[in-house]
This record gives sequence, C-alpha cells and structure tokens, in this order.
Amino acid sequence: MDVRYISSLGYNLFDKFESSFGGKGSITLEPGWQLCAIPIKNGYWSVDIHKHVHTNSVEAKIKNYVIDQIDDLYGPGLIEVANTYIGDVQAFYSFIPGVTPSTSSHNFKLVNEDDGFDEISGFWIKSIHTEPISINWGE
Amino acid sequence: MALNKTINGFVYLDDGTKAMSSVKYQAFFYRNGTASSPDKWNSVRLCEDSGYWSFNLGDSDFITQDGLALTNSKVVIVFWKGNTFDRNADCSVLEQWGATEVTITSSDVYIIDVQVRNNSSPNLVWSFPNIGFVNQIYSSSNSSYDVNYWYFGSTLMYHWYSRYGQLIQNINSIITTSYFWGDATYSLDLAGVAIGSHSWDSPGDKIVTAVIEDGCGTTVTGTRTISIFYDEPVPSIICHQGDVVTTPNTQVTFKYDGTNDNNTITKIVWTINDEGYSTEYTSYNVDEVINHVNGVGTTWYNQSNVVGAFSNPGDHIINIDVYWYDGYSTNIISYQKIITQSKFNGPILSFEQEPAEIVLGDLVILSNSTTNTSRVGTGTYNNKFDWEIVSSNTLNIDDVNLEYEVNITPDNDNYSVSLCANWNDGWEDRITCITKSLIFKPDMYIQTEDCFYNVYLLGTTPNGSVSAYSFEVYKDLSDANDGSGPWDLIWSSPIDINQNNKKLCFTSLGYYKIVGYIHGDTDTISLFKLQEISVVCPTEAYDYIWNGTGSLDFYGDWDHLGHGTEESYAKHSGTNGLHVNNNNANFKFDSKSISNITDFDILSFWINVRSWESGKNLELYLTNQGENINGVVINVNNYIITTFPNEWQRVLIPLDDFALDSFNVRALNFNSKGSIDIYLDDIMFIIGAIVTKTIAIQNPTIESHELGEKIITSREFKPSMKVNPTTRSFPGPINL
Repeated sequence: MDVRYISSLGYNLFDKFESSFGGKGSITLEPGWQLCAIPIKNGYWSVDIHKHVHTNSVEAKIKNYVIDQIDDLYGPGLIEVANTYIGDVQAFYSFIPGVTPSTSSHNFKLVNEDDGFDEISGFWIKSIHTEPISINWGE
Repeated sequence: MALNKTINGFVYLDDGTKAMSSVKYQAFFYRNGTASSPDKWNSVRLCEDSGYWSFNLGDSDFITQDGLALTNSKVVIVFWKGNTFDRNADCSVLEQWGATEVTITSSDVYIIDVQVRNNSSPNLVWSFPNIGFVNQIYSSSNSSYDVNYWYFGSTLMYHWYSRYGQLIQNINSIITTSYFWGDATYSLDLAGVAIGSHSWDSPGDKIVTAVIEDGCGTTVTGTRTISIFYDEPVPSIICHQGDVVTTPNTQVTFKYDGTNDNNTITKIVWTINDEGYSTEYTSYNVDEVINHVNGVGTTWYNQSNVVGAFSNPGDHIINIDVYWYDGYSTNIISYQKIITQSKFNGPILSFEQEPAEIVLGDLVILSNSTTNTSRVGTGTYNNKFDWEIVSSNTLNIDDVNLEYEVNITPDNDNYSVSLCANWNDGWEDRITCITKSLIFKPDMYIQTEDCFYNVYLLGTTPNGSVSAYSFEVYKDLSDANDGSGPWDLIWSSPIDINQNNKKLCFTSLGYYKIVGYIHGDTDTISLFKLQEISVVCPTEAYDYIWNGTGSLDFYGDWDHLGHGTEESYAKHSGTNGLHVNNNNANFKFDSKSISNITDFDILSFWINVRSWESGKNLELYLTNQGENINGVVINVNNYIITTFPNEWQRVLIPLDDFALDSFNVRALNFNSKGSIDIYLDDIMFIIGAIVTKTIAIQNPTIESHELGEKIITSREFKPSMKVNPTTRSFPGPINL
C-alpha cells in the first residue's frame, strides 16, 4: 500500500497504528453529499466505549466504522446513503442505513484488496442532518 | 455529480417469508417521454441470501453514471423465483414471479419491499349474442387477459405480460381458447385470446362454453346461452296482372312472393278489399294462386261484367296475415299491398278549321281530329260527338261520328266552337269538351262619312283569341304632308274589347296613319292604313236649350219659367240674355216634352256674375220624364269663379257629373240658396268631342272630352284629350 496522505489536519500519518496505515484524522460531514475516504482496513466503532476499536479480527466497513459512530454520537437516521463505486465490478455499492443488511455486499469495506494491493474506497456519503457531523478515524 | 440513484429493498415469497438467493431480478428503464437516457434493460441480478436486492441507475450495465434519469421516468423491476436467469422462462421453471414500477423523482434512494407469487388464474372476458337465427353465423367477443395485480404492503405488484412495449414476462399470457357450442360441436385450442364463430341449424337454447388456458395450464371457464330462432319471413305479394291493372274487367290473381326460409309458414290469411267489402281466404300453401272470386268486374255498353275482376276502380288493399313458427311459438306478420285498378282513358279532343284564317262570308269547314276515340260512344243512345257553334246565333249538332264535318259561313268574327265527346271510362259515362274560337283573318277598313270616318277592326289573333282592341292615330309631320312621315302620335284609344269600332273626326287636312291592334291571350297583332283626310269636323255640334227669344235666336228655346227676366243687356250673344237677381231664386227651362240627349255629353252656358252671396250654392239639375230629379243635383259655383264680377265665363259641365238615370230629359232647373245677381245666356247641350282642336272620338261606351282651360273652385280642366269611362250608351252615330 502506498498511501501516505489521506488527511493531515493536525494528525501524524506516520504514527503506525495496528489496524491502519498509520495516522489518524477527523472528517466534518457537511449537510448533503460529501466525498470521503478513510484509510482504515480493520476496526469498528464500539458503542460500549464510544470509540473505535482497532483489531485485525474485524474488517472496517461503512456501517461498523462510520455509520455506527454517527448513530452513537449523533443519533440514528442522519445518513441517507453512502455509495462507493467499485471499479472491478463497474457497479455501485450502496449502503442505506436501516435497510441494507450488515451482511450485504453493499456494506462495503473502507479498504479493498485488489490483486494483493490495498485500495482505499472513496465514497459519497449523504448527510440529511441540518448540522455538520464530525467523525474521527484512526483513534 | 454523476448519476447515483439507488433502488433497493427486500423480496418476499408467496407465503410472506423473505426470499433466499433463488430470486433473480432485472430492471427496465423507461424514459417515458422525458429527455432521460434511452430505454434499457440492465443485467439479471441475484438477490442476496437475506432477500435483499439493490441496484443503482448509475451502474455500468444500466444507464451509467453519465446517464440521465429525469423526474417521471420509470423503472420496471421484474422478480422471479426459479432456476433460471430468463424472466421469460415457462411455467416448468418459474415458480413465483412479480413485477413493480418506480417513478423517478428527485430522490436518490428508493426503498421498495416486493413479493413474488405463484401463477394467477387468467381473466375470462367475453360475450356472445343471446338471440340468433338458424343458419346465421354468430361470433363471440374475447378480450380475456392474464395480467393480475396485488398490493404487497404499499407496493403494487403485477403479473405483467408487457409494459411500455416491453415483454415483461411471457408467462403471463393466455395460450389457448376453446369453445363448446352446445350442439356437440366445438372449436378447440384456438391460439391465444381467440374469438369463436358458429351457426346452428336448429332452433332452441344453446349453451356456449368458453375456456381460456394460460401458460401454466390454469383454465377459466364461462358460459352463455343463445336462443336460436327460425328467421322471420319477409312477406311480399305479387299481382299477376301488375301493381296497376290498366284494363277494366281484367281478372286478377295474387300469390305470396315473400321469403319462407326453413318452411316456417303454416298458413296465410288473405283479405282482398274491393268496393267497400273484403273477402277473406285462408291458404295453407304459400305457392297457391289466389283468385279474386268475389270481384264482379264492371259493365258498359256491349260489355258484360267479368267475375274475378275488381268491382271498382282505384286502389285496392290486399292484406295478408302470415302465420309462422319461430322455433318456440307461432307468430303473425301482417303485410299489405295496394293494387290499383285503372279506368279507360278518354279521348283527346281537337278539331281543325279550313281555311286556317277565315274571311267573313267564306265557307268554313270544321273537321274533328280527336284521337284515342276507342271509348267514345256510350252504347244505349250511341252518343258520340256533339258540336256547338256559338256566335250571334247558336247552332247545335249532336250525336255525330268522328268523320262528321261542320260547314258554316260566318257573318262575324266572333265564333266560339265547342266539341264534346261522350264516352265511358269503364264505370261511368263521361263528357269531355274543348272550346276554341275560330281564327279569322285580321283586317281593318275605313268608311268615310260626311265629316268623319268610321274605322273597324276585324279578325282574331293567330290562336283565335281576342281580349281587346285599340287604335292609334299618327299625323304626318312631313312638310309635303304626303303620307311619307315622320309620324307623330296624336291620339290613342283605350284598350278594351269594345274598341273595335271608332268614329274619327279630324280638324285638319292631310295624311294620317291609323293603326289598329287586336290583342289576344298570347299575341297582339297590328294593322295600319294611311288615310288622307279631305274633310274636317265642324267646330261645334250643339243643341240650344235657351238663347233668348229674339228673332235671331237659333232653334226654338225651351221655355223659361220662374225667376229672371230676358234682357238685351244680359246677353252674351244673339238678342237677349237672362238676368236673375233674387234671393233663393228658382227658375228653369222646360222643353215641354221629352228631349233625348243621348248624343251629347256636355251642358254648356255662359254666365256673368254680378254678385254672389258668399258660400251659397246655385243648384242645378235635370228632370226626367216624370219631372223628378234625373240623377244628382250639382252646384254651379263648383264650375265657375264667383268672385269675377262682370266677366263672362263659359261653363262646361260634363253630363257625367249629373249621373243621369235617363237620357230622356224634361227640364233644366236652377235653384239658388242665397242671393245672386247673374246674367245667363247660350245654354246648350254640346258634343264635347267636337270642341277639340284636332280630333274627336266617340264610341259606344267611352266618350272623350276636350275641355277648354278653366280654373274653377274645386276642379281644374286643362286642354288635353281626356277619356272618361261612363256607363252611358250611345248606340247611334253622332248627329252631325
């Protein structure tokens, strides 16, 4: 994986982290559509401790890493949809909170493996909240 | 932003459980008239194990991210359970299926839970006539279909066969239609939604069964009952002698000429109406010839009646009541036809005269040219043709043959000839006549009298008619006055039937052209003669009533009686005049006998008004043989100007104004209603025409007056030829 910079606002990307490519960061989701990418391969949001747990036993997906965090911090129903477009299949993977099963392929991974390489999934996420939503990754 | 619209949800089975991955789905994008991307099916997809399905319009196998999916475009999504990726697979593979539709809005996400179901029964929609006739073909209508729908939650699901021109699922269709016709015949396995046609050869109630079957072998059955009748006869009648029987005493026969399909007519009741009664006859054989056994025909001279012929002429109504069996019961149809019995035609009357134009005094032969004479003559009396020639006398020639000729020598040009034929029309004796005037050669001649000329018109217009005569007189204006013209119309007569004879009096010598006209019904012919006038009229023609009693007076005066005295200073001419100066003066002039004034038309006298009480009348009237007022009383002051003192005025009073009862008069009476002072002289009857400047006319009923200009209180006479109709009769020539 040759990603070095994803987001650098106040974070050191080279701080190796067990389940990441290193680094941490935060993203502010404005109302409406916003294009994001989170370079986290493994980990999930724990509603028990209200923070991410980075462990290689759990793949980081749109639901368990992002949506669960927003639902826990801001309440449910603020995200209408999150889409990624997978080039290998030339199709959208669309996660609709409250509808798409967590087992569905449409609960896409934040980092995909492609021919032995890790590819960070860029995705569109649509906030239907009236206020900005701030989420973190890597910590 | 690229196209990114997600449509997703869960699919459930017929029993309500979530489907497993055995359910496939495929979506069709339909632009629906918008400017969206073209219509397109995407690839077949497989639901996830959870029954979750999802796709995005921006997928590369669909509209792609570069595509457009505008509001009101449609997405049809087809789901099916079965071991096949072909949504159009047959019922051996497909287990459950269904489809729904999404209308695109501004939303980015569409969440729809759907259901697939087992096959549904097709819908039988058909009809069949409920009444029909034997051997006629009747057809069903059939608009059956295999499309069904149901609600799953709020989602409207379909078993669609097609949508937006796309085959959605072939399985939702009717494969065959079969009909069972109720007479042990049938039409099996007609392809698709088929109509059926059938005819029956016997009457009765027939139960028709329709069966439709869809691709899964599901059938639906329906029945209809059609009542089959025998077809109704269309009645008609013929008369073998035609609809119009032209010859009286012709036996007439009739026959049924209508339809009788399937021999359903059981009997026909005939009613023949003839001369106020009707004859009824029942026939059990439609081909039977019906005789008019009660017709008695007619008789005429030398002809006996013929039984079986119509008894009277005119229309005869022939009625039939047709009894027939429709397969269920007996019915009656009534029909009628009118057969007309004609009469014999009568003769076409005409006759000819020879010569074509008659000259008075010549022999004329009238020959009968009547045609179509076969019916002329009425037998018993053998009456044939009657002639009547009417002129000054009437000549009747009765009961003569066609060949008979009438020879006459007319003594005038007014002959009316009637020719009548006596004939029989088969029932009645008739008389037909024509009347024509004989045609005379037109002619005009002039007789010279002492100082006037009698002109006569003779003859007729070319068709023998004369409705009026008239004359015009033209004076030669040429310097030579030799009859070469040019001509100036100086007088014309009235146009009337009695204007054929005029007496013309001329006041100047020279050439005149006298044109006579004979007016007819259609033509007017004219003739003219040039006449050199060598003698003129005297200036006046008169008869004195009173001129004073002096020795120089003309004629013997009528006796003056009453107010007034003869005075020489009161004369206008001659010896004396009468001076009347009284209040309520009464005086008269008495002939002491009866004077006939037929030949005169104006009373003339001279008057000199000395004084006249304003507003008072001087009455004037004539008396008759019994010395009663003859006609009416007139007022002299209406004919003079009473405010002209000491001037002689000539008074001209048309005798018409007296409206005389008789032209035999006894006296002339004056009666003033106020104070008058007048001189009176030269009282006479005159022929007003003779006072003319140029020409005078007199005829039996029309009198012309030329009156000198005189302005009087209520009337104005101007110099002109005035023609005043009158009822007076002047039978003789003018007494000149």
